[in-house]
Amino acid sequence: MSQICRLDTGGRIDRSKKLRFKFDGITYTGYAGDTLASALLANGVRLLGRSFKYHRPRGLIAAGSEEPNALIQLEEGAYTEPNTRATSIELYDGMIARSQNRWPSLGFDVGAVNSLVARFLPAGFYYKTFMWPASMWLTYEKFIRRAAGLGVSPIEPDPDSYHSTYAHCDVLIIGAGPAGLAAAATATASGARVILVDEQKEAGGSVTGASFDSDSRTKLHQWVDDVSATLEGSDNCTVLMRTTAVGYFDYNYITAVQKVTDHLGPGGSDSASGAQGKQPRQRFWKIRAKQVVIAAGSIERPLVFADNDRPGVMLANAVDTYINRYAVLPGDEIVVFTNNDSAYRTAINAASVGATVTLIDARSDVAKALCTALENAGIRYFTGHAVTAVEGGKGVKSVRVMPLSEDGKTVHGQAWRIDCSIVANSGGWTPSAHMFSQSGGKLRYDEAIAGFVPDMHQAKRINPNHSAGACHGTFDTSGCIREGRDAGQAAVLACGYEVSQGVDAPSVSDDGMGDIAPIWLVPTVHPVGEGSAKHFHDFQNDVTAADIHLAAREGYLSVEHLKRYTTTGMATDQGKTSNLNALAIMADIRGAQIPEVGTTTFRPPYTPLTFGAVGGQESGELFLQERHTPMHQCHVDNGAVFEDVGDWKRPWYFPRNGEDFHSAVQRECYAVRQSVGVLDASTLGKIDIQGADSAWLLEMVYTNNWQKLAVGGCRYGLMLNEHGMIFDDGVTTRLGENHFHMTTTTGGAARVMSWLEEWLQTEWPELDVHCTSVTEQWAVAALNGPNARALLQSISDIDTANESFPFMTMREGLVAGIPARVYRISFTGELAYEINVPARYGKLLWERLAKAGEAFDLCQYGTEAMHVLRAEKGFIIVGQDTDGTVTPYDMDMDWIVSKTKEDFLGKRSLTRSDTKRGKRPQFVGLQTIDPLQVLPEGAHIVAEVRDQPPMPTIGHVTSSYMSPNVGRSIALGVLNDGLAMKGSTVQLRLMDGQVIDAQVTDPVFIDKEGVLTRG
Amino acid sequence: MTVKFDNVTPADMATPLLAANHSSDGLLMQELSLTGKISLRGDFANSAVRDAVQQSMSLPVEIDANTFDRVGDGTVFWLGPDERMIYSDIGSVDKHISDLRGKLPGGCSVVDVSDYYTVIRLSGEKVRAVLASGTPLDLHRSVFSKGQCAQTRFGTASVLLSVHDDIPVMDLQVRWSFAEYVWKYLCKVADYC
Repeated sequence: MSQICRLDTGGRIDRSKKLRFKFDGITYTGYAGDTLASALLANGVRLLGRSFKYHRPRGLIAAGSEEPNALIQLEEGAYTEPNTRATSIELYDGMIARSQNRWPSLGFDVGAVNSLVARFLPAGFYYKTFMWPASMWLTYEKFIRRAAGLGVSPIEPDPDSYHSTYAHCDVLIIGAGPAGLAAAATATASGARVILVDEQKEAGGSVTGASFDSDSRTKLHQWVDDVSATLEGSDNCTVLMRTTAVGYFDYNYITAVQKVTDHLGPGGSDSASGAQGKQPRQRFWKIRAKQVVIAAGSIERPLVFADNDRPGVMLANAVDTYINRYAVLPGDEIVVFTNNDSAYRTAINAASVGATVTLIDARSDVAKALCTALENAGIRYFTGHAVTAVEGGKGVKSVRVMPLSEDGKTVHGQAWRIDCSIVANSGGWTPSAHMFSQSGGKLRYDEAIAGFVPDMHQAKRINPNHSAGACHGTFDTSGCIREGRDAGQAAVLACGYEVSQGVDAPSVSDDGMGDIAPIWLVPTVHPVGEGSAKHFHDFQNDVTAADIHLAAREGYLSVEHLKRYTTTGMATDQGKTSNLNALAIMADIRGAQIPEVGTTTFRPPYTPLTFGAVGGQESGELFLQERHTPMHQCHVDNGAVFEDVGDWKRPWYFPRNGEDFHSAVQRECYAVRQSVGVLDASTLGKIDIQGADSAWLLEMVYTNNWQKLAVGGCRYGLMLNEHGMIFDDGVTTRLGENHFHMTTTTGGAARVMSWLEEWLQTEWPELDVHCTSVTEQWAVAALNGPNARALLQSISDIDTANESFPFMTMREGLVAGIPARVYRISFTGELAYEINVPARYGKLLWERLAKAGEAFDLCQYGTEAMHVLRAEKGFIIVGQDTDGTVTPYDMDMDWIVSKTKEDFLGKRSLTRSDTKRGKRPQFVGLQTIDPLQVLPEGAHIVAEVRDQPPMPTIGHVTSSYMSPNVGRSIALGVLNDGLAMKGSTVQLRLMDGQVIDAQVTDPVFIDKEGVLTRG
Repeated sequence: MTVKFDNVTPADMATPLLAANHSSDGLLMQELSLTGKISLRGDFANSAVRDAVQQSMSLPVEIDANTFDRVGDGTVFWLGPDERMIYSDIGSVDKHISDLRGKLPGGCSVVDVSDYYTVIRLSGEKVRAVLASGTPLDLHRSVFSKGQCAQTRFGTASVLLSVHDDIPVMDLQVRWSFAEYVWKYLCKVADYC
């Protein structure tokens, strides 16, 4: 198809690069430099979607990222992306795009019936109707979602790659229009570190699209090119185009998304990759700036008039931009409807490229020069008039125009029709104060421009920033450049640089918005809400002026209530074109001033962004760190199945010859108690404690006595928090008079270190104690089993005889030729030695143990067997058998609580009324009556079995296994008054209703006397 | 049946990345061989402490915050007001530690952390961009240059960064168990920078 709306000359497009693309299955062509929006418009495609609620036909309204209507499902399969704005999509060859919100097709849409029954679907309708009864909401919601039919997310994994990075600068400038460029040039010249971001692919901002007289246009383009080139060539300035600042957080922390290869299409990052490395699809910038210059420009507001949503009703600046930047004349017959001066330039510009233009100005009082200019351009115009109707279902065919009353509230006289295909309208300009608002600044209503501007007196001091140009309410280009320069100077001054002179501004003539006389709601022949015409102010969420009236009638007068009741501003565009109109209409209804109604808070993101960009490179194996022990590769080679313990990958079990989980664990448990097993215990937390007060510290953090522990001796300890509850345990060894080696649970290592540091730094800073984490300094292999001594003896120069190396002591020597510390401690109840070597030898130790162990059938076992073995012995695992609500007494461990120590952490709480009361949940063993039945962990012990919950619970299972060594299932748990209930039978009711009987026992199932460990 | 093992030699000393290296446009990365590392805590305003370290290792300990000083084959890093990290030849660590413990007054702590960390050396023009992908620290030459060091994070790992040359050449010290994660992270972002 030919590009029927493309002008023969002009535009910032490359006519030598023809691009083919598909929209809703039809192939079109455009040019390099087009957006999807401009290319569709060039092809005469005006119908781009259906509206959210009424399914009314919709077309383009804007040319920038504020576009509310033209939401596109871009690409297919894994690359598909919903809710993208056609105006922000750079055209590439082979693009596949689809319209959204229509079913079965854009031209014929079943949902459009909503439009016919609109009187039954007022604002708040969903909530009032479908929220009751509450149980039906789930049903309604599915129906409503499908009918609304926003885009669909891909179900495939994201094939693209993303990069996120931090950046720092003295001055961050948001927006590369006239103000932003002037600020950047000024700041860069002073030597400051500058970052300049802009969402467009080229700098210039309004200069790229707006209409100027030819002399000004030439000068401005030259100026933009010159300044851009200077910035690009400056080492201290980073220019990031296609980059949108999306979030502004405290202490000038700004996030921005750079679309690195989106404009190349699916797989574009691959084609862009080469010798220079791989290009990500998008890059997420996390920028910390000393000063920020916000030069975000402004957004034109639509006028709210009858049926102002017909495809072909556009913002005046969009018509300008399509003509000037993309060489697309959207229609030959254009009606310009305005309440301010800026659209006069649009009218003259459109006429200059051949359109027949009629201008309707709601104001009756218009500057003579403007009228003269229209007359010179051969443009008909009517002041004091209004567009009262727009005709044409899937595209504008004509408008009806009537004289407006003096106060702008009513129309009178005879209506007449003007044939046209485009209505270019302007209700004024809204400064883009989003970033300033996000920074915590408050806005101030400026009557002169009929809009909210940043109130620098109400800026948040921790976020030093400056607003310049149109986002500050200054619309003329010269003024923007001047403000940008001033802001740049103020910013670098605040950073401690000497101020440079700044850039020279070209002398250009444009008056920006000029004069404005607000008309917030354009009357028609019927009062608002009556008749079939609709006055839309929020296009994306389909909200009309009548909805605001309804909200007011029902008492939703505050801006926050108005927003939620009508959903104004709650669509993906966050009301960029609609918010002020809604506030003003509400103010009018209330008879209040606009500042009294106030604004809603702007929140990030400024425009929607992908989760991929936020995640950046931290996906896949970088999503969460995997920590590996020095022996890790051995375990991989030995076929270990791994378990996540904290961040660690620990061998869970080592299946042999196709064994399943159960068989492997049973074999490993059995082998340990029959001969000897080895466990990688390197992950245990280890803390080196030195200083004259070390023993005193241990006395305070553990419940038992430490002063008299002999050098070379080991002792088990329990740590309590201030509430007297167990929070960690482990064995600590005295290496010297004032030197200890503490071990903690794997998951508790960091917590214990913080705990010690907190007490040392805040309560006992005078102590002579230093704690140093040495977790990874040592690789640990734990030998357990009756043959552990024989194996160790065969490879070590340490005297392993029981009397010279007794239980709970440490010896140093060579093990398998490696210098080692060997701790004779046991977590299985077996004869056991924990061999610690510097991590550099960890893998070597493991390999040598495996070799030496062949003679003893040494079994490598994992964490699951470790769990079973310790449960057989009734050893607790903090965090599994305890949950932060149990005391040592609850765990039947009163033997470890010193009765003689004056104090230790948690001691006071052990005498609180609730902790010392009897019948608390207490630690017991459980044996099912059926020895083959393994209780599920978490199963509840009930006082009385009922048919269905609720029923009174008196305890629960914390650990449960099939034990090959006991020869039956075993379990541990907590039970109210459990210590007194040993021997009795309790009932457990499972989720499926099954009831299991179990006997309450002692938690130690093997070697109650502890003979094996000490043997 | 007894298996006999030779006593370990320096050739048996492993590092978590097995001396991995990477070379791409503008970036060289190499895990350094095992260095001796001593964590030293104490009051460095105390002349007895300063003298002890000077005598044992010929190193100054009273240095500016976030800087390091290199003398001979020893390097001392400022980690905190009462904390220094000392690098030395791996073969001399045991001797240095017993020397220090013998000479230092009370209130100090000397811990061997040679294996706790490994060191990755990065050089080339892309070093700052690569590191900026994972660390929130400002690495610009004007604020982080030769002779400076800083403890920060890279991804989720705690690291010690030090600048050895403004080309730049930087060292990244990371815990053994996080080394592989950090290495993969560096290699992945190296492509994008």
